Amino acid sequence: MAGEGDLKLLGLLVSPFVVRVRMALSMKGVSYEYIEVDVFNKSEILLKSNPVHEKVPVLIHHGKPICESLAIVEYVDEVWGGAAPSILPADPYERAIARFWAAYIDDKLFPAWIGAVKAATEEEKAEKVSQTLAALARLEEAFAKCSNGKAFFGGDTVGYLDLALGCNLFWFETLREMFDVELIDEGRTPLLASWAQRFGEAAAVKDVVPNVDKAVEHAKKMRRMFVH
Amino acid sequence: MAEEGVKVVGMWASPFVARVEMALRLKGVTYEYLREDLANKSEMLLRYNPVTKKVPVLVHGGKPMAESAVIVEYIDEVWKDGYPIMPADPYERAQARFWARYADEKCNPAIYVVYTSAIGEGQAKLVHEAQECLKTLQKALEGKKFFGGDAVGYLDIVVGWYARWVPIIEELSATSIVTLGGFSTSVTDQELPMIKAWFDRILAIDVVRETLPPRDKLLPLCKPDSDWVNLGGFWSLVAVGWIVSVMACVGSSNAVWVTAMMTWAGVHGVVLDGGWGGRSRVSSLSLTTGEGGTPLDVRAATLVVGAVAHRRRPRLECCPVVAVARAA
Repeated sequence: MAGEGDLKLLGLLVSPFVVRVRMALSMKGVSYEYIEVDVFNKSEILLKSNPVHEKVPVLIHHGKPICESLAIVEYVDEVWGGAAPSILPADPYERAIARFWAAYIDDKLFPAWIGAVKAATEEEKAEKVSQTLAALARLEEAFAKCSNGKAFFGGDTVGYLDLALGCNLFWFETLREMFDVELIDEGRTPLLASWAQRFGEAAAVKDVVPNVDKAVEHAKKMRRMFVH
Repeated sequence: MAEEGVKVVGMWASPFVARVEMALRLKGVTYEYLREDLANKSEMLLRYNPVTKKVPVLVHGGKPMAESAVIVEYIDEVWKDGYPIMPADPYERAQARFWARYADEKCNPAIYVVYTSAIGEGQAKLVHEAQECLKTLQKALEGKKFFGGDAVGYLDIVVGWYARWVPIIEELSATSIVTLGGFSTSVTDQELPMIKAWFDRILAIDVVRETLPPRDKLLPLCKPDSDWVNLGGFWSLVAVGWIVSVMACVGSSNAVWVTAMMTWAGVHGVVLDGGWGGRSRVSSLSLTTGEGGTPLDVRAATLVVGAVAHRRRPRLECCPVVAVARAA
């Protein structure tokens, strides 16, 4: 389906938030112009479309920018509402639960694992890994409740909360490669482990997940810049 | 109407609880209000919200949910024929969600930090930063009566509490963030007339006024009361069997620093979550008097407290303050 002619996405290949939006667009079968931005050397278009945060992703639809990945995903779901599948759950209570956990992922899980990537000392890294594991333990419980025995958080098909968490998975593999740490494992979080497998194989999301090598490269660059 | 069993678990001084009540009242939904003592959280709250253990919690037909901004959207969706809270247009909705997140992530902490600041050069910088945040937020207001347009909408509900809290913070910290006033000499003379005008308009809305805690109740709560003592005259009160609490911003250099001092002084400490709920960063540090209430090394405790005092140059009626209470 065409993106109604005028749809651009400013992004960074390895940003989980960008990947999240790309997964949503892919699910809807929407075409768009993808513009890779150098976040270490911010371009004019980025500064103009997201002057508040100067961050990606930014979706530009008919010249109007939309920022914040979760807000973008909801926007995409609303604008291309006719295109199956629906991303947000239909039931208001399930939507509230999905939004709660999506906020939890961004507020608690993300700072923990990115903190591990950026950690200056072994102690700090261990602390951040431990926080990541604690958050994932919560999400394991959430999965049990939300999925109701089905394949995904969203039920039979990938939904909002699947995207919210799933976009982080390639970074968990990156952390495994860089630090030899297993964040989602069959022993501690069996439900998430089998969900991650299924999510990784889902057609709509597969193509937008970057190679772990690229993420490792980016992580090393970040560490060079920010870790002293 | 789907009104069976609507309950709000809340605390009167929480701005996040106020958001939920505002939304319900705009929709004309009747609800049961269950008061929570945040210093002594009920089993009910922990059952309804085991993840963050915070208020507000909305329970509808027995089903609990948390996170005030999420709850407001839920209310708008369930009672969709009532007062419209979210904008109708998807682009406007995306903007509203973006700004709500901006307010909670950036404006809230910037404003809070002014509240806990001490007079001095450092404070003027904090005031300026809070103003910059509000100026940015103001972009969503330009040319309109409310963030929602002609009437109160989602973003007004999300940040409406600023209209009550910011003037109180200005008074207690002797600063002018939004309102130009004669509170102190060491502030910038910038003001935010658009925001101030919005404060006046929003407080004129009945539902908003009914749900925000009244100023005369809120002001004394934010001020230290008789149990709270200025650090300056404090350390003589530290004695065996007393519990010392220090209000600090979690993650702030002060909190990290106090913890380090405690470890060095060999004082037992426990960090407790407290405060306003939502994405609050308020926490309290409790220095216990040793296991089973055994005598604390008074010198150690006063060293910690004295060091904190030195670091923060406290003044009367301003955080960080130290509360002293007898151990239970």
